[in-house]
Amino acid sequence: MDTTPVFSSFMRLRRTNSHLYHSAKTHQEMLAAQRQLGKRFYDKLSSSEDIT
Amino acid sequence: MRALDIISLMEEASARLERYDAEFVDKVETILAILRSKGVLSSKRLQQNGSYHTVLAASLVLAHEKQADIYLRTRSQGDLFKQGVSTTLISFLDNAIEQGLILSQAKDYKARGRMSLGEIITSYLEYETA
Repeated sequence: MDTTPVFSSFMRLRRTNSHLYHSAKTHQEMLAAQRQLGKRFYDKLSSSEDIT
Repeated sequence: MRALDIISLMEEASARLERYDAEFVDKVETILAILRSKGVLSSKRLQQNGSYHTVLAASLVLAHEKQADIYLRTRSQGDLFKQGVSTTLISFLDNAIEQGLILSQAKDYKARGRMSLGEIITSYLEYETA
């Protein structure tokens, strides 16, 4: 099972822990997750819902 | 669909950010996250560039609100300088096009002339509005 965080995970973090979300480490994790998942990272995209 | 000058959009976006508009700011934060997740905006030197990045993201949100394309009149550093705009605007737009976040109609797929917001940005802005 793929546990790589998706875009909405980071948006939840932005609302629950703004300080952690705005850290350079979190931004690096977001970049890495997007590179790993490609379009599937953007989990609210209608075209990516078909892939998962 | 009409096309609006990106520099005018940035000026309007900058003024809009000064008003307290939580819904607008939330959309801007979402677009900033998309731009960062694609590596279009670097998280390095966030202290120095953070507010400029916010204005860039806000100008895309504004274009979506106005249901408009964006338009870049010139890539000339001298002309942009005269208009008081950082020339990093060109690299930002070029990077966003390369990552598919903005669609260029130019033959060389660079930032010039008319450009549209790509699927990821429009989908998330429509999702946030719904």
